[in-house]
Amino acid sequence: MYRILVVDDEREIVNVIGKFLSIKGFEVVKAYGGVEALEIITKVDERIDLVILDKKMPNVNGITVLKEIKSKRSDLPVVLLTGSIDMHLLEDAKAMGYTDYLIKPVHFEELLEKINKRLAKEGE
Amino acid sequence: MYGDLVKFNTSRKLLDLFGKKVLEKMVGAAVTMLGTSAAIYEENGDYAAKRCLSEYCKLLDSASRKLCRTKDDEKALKSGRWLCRESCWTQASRRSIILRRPVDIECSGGIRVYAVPIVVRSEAIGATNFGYGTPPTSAEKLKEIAKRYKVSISDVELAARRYVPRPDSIIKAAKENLEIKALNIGRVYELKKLADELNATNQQLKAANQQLSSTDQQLRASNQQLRAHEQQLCAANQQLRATEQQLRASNQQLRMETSEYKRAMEELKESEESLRVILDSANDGILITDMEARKFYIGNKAICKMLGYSLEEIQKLGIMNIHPKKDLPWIMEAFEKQSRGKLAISADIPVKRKDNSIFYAAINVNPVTITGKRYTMGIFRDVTGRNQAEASLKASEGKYRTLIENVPQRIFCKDRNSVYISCNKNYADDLKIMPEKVVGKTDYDFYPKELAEKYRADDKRIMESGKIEDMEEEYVVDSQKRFVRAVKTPVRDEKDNVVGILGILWDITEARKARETLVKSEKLASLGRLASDMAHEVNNPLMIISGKAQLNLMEESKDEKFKKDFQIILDQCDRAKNIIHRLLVFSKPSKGEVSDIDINEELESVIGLIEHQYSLRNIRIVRHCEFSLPVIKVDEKQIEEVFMNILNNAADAMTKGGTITISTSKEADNVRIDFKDTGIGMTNETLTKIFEPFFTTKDGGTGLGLSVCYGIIKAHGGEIRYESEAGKGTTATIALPIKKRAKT
Repeated sequence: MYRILVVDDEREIVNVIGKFLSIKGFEVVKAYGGVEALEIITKVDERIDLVILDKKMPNVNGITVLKEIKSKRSDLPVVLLTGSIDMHLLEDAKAMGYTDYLIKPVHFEELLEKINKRLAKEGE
Repeated sequence: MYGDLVKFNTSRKLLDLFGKKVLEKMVGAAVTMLGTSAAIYEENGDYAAKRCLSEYCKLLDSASRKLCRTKDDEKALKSGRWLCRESCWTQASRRSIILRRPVDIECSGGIRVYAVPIVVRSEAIGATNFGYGTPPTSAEKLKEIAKRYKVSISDVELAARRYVPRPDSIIKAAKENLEIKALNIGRVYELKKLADELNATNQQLKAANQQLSSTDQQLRASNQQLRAHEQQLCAANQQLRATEQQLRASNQQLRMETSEYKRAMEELKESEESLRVILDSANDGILITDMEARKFYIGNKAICKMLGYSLEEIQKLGIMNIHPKKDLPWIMEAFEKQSRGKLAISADIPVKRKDNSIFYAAINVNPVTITGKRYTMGIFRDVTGRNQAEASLKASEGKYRTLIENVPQRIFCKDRNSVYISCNKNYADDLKIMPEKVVGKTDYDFYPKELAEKYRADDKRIMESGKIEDMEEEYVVDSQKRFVRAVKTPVRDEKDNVVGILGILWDITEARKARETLVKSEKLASLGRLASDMAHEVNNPLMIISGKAQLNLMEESKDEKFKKDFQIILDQCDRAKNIIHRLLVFSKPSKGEVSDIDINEELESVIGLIEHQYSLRNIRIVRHCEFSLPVIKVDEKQIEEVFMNILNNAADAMTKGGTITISTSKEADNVRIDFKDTGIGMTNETLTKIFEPFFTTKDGGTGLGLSVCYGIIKAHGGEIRYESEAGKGTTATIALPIKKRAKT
């Protein structure tokens, strides 16, 4: 069973996405903000197969988390969620090798498709 | 025996070419040499010549003729039983024609036959042959031949023995001779052909020549006709000359009469001059007017001085020319009253000089009759004292004029009735006239009716209120709309009555444009910030709403009605997301992928999406595309969105159907695209607002379509503009730079 980390400062968003992922048979790890997300990622024994990451969060934002993932677990796939297309930030993300993003509100089928694609790639 | 076989010749090519005698001689030569037989055949086997000399050949030939069982020689030739004929023609000569080479065979009579084809330009036209060799001597062979030809063996043996054998050298020479003969016959035939062709050509030439000479004769005939015409012309010319002389004679007579007339005129002049002396001695200006012609008949020196015209000039003028136009009605009335004795003198009448300056005069008008014709005599007196005052006024006016001409503003002055009194050069330049020509004109002479009416109303209001007004208004230079700041001041006389209006104008077109752009971009920037913040703040709750709806939709147990509601919630979330997205695109157009695009292709792909749907709405799309447009660097998706928006607006404006004409062209450094529709059009008020975000005239429109277009085109360094006339249709024009300019 794949373990997916869902990161967003909005509790309800984490919960609603989490619930969907559980229905679809994933094990869900929840982080309600950037700080919590960093804690989970830095734990070496914590197995995470994919991260769904909100881009704009207070204190530690999505891009900071993304940089951390890049340095600590460079092979961990990330799907970025964003409230608006901010080209500059997306270009930063792209430069770090993360091309997958979805604009909120997302359609779950789209999200699922992205997740499966990334996980299939990792599995190769 | 049989008769002459040559007479059956139907081909006659060789026969006619050489004639019977020559051909017989040719055959004869070979036969003499070899003592056998020889023949010349046409291509089809007809005999051109035939000769049998040896007893042996003669015996067998006539024997085989008998075998044909017919008296008719022609039938005998075709019977196939004439053995000698079969050997010489069918087996030897005919084969040589087919093979195009000499053939050497043993004949049915036991000697040999040598045949050579006659070839012209690689085509065989006949053949020639001879028999040669010693007849057989063996009893067995002779018996066989006798049996074949049905003759007695002793006859054959005798004839064979009597043949004198020829040495091989003779036979060889004869063969060579035959070959040369065949060759020569061919050559002669070819030459004959050429001669015939030449002859034909010659005849054609002769015919052409005859035609030419007949044409020549025709030409000569028409030449003669021409000469006849020429002679006629000469005759007519002489007549003309005669007429001319007559005319000259009558001209001289006329001259004589003229000189008499001149003398009479001089006498008249003398009397006129004495009259003039009297007139000119007067200090007052005197003008005598021809009331019928409405022109001045005569004037004295004093009036010339007063008006600044020469006498000759005055005689070309009338009352209309020496008074200000606006004053004419009451002046004419005054004159009329005076002439009827109702008014003693018309005082303070404004009079216009040649230089358009005005002086005031008291005028006494009297009717006079000269040589039975009615005239009016006007006596002008400059109103005392005014002249001097005017001189000083002129001096001060000069000072002010210098001042007025050197300010960059446009300045004008109008009277109480909004008639121009003066203006500075800047203003006159805009009107494309000389400053002095403005006098007496009104705004209706220079501006479109609407504008002139507005100016007139403004003038009236200001003169009535007596208050200075400072306004921004439209103005037209070279039929181009411009904007001016105008300060209009009422002008008062010494008694404080408003007598006119003074206007000073600044051209603020450029400044206004810059200000508008600034306002627009400020609006855009603040909207961009707002949109970006809003997107984050709104999209999060939307995510929760949409997520919950999706989860509910996934639950199988749910009622269909609930599912329907959740689907609506989901759809509306998407709609809200879309609006926010468009707002973002408009306020801060993303710099997406830029690639080289052929605008015509791009248009085609958009048209492809909508054409069918439009045709159902009775909307036709007409293309006027300029081919080979340069490719331009644009964000394909965004430009597609612009085209789609413009086309959808055009279609929405044509509820009853119509035509959208799309034209592309290269214009300076831009690719230009025009979308012209035949829809309901827009009022000017709507037109000024179409790019404002959230402005819409459609039910359920977001008011973002054209704002997005504006944002995208601006981000591409291009221009977008709309022109429209209510009820007639709208044209959207886009210009996109070929070399991408920096973002403005």
